[in-house]
Amino acid sequence: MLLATVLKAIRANRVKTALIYISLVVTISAIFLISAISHGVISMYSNILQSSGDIIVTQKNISDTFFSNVDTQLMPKIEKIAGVKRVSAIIVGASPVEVLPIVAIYGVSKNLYPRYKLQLGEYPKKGEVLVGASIYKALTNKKELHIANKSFVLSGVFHSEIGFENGGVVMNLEDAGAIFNKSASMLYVNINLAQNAQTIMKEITQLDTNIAVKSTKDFVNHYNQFKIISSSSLLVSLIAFIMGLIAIGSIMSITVLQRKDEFGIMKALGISSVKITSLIVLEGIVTGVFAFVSAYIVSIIALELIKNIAKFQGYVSGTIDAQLAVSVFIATMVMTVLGSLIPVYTALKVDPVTLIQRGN
Amino acid sequence: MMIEAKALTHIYGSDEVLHAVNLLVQEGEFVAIVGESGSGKTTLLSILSTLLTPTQGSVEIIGNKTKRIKKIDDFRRKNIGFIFQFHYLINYLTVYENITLAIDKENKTAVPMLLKELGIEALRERYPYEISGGQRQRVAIARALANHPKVIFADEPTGNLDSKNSNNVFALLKEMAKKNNITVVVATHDLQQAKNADTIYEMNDGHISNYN
Repeated sequence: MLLATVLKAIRANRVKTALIYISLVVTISAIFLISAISHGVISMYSNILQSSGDIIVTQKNISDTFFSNVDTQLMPKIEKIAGVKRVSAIIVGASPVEVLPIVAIYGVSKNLYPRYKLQLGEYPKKGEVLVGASIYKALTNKKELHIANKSFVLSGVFHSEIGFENGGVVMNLEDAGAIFNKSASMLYVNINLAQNAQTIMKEITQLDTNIAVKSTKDFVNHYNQFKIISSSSLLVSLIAFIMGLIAIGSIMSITVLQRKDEFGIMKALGISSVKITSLIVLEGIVTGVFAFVSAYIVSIIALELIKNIAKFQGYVSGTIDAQLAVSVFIATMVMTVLGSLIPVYTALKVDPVTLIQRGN
Repeated sequence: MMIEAKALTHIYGSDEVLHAVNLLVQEGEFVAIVGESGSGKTTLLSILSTLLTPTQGSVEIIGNKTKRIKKIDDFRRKNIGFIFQFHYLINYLTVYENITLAIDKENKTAVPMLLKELGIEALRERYPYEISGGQRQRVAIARALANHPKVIFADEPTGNLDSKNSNNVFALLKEMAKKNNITVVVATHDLQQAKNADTIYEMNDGHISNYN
């Protein structure tokens, strides 16, 4: 009976319900997209790091890996430490390529080549580059690339599930070092499972006073850029949430104002304020559930479209996992309950007669 | 004694609309309060029926001082029926849903009989906007009777109807009240209809007096 009444009330107030529904869909989709994309950026870069080594060596006291410079002469010294399986080096940089304003450039030691799965051609030699499948589609000249006033021959095309890699250019460490004027951004160290990582990290630290050594997990968890992206995303989502709350609250206030006589009659007939409030809040919740499902579908479609926009080179992508969906659903419910509760609570504080008179 | 009002005064802003009104209504009595528009009839009815709190004075209804009633919604639902001039049915609910909107479970089984007695059983699934003014007021009477109240307050129940429908609705209200031993307090400006009541009071500029 309660739900049937709620559905009839929603149908009777369909214009205002539609406005609330649209506000909710826009707000929820914004929260979904902001969170999914920022989460996507973080997971793409952390996946690169986590799949490359157990320990990461960077320059000490740098705010970003882009600014890090580690001497590759440390590599043979690290390799000698007991328990170390492999040491590799990477330079992470960015440069314009053709009409694309920014493209990720990875200068890698040869032992990292196998992580880039070849689709065409072969791994690059000096003066050559390997390009990701998504950037390859966007290139007009598929034989030669110009990076920082230098020409490179395309040696092949690779595919990676990580958007940052799939939309990037891979070259050998020496060529990248000449472009970005550094030895390496980071060193990745793979160790034997049986070995104590802490002991190895301690030994690496003692090799150079200018380096910072962290386990990959620790590095990812404390990487400043990730914290900045997460905080910014949370802040923007919070602003979207507040804007949504204000929109729903405003429309709900108008709805409640126009239905004051209805609530006055209900009160006069002896229906408790709690039950009347429940009716209105349930109207909000039902609208919220429909809006959430719609926003979820809209966001999935939008993310899929964004992922396939060539201009974004695969750098902008995101997925909505269960945790994000549950969090946004809770936020939606809080938004609809608060947005409905406040206006109806304020309205029901007055006498039924006043409500009936004001409703006319 | 069903209702006793003592020295009721009510002020809206700076206007004193009721001046120390005293009133006694006995159980089963049909009382009419007549007066011109703005004389204070509706305010008095609202205060007597617990819908409005008086600025001063007290009301005792069915042995309860209204200011001391803790669960006022429950009290109204179980003891008081309302009929308003503009029927105030909820447009998006059917006739049956309007009648049973605030009904207690135990009274639900009697609704079909009530609809039959009021001649509106065929309107059960219609919406208020699909029926005539007279039919709407019958539905409003059914809603007022649905919880078997002890008192019904009716504010200009025929104010929006033509004379034929007015007579019918008034006669029906009186008949149902008598049959179920319900006390009725009606506010009306229609003196002819008021003459059907057991007792008539006249409101004039916030003062009440016996109608002669």
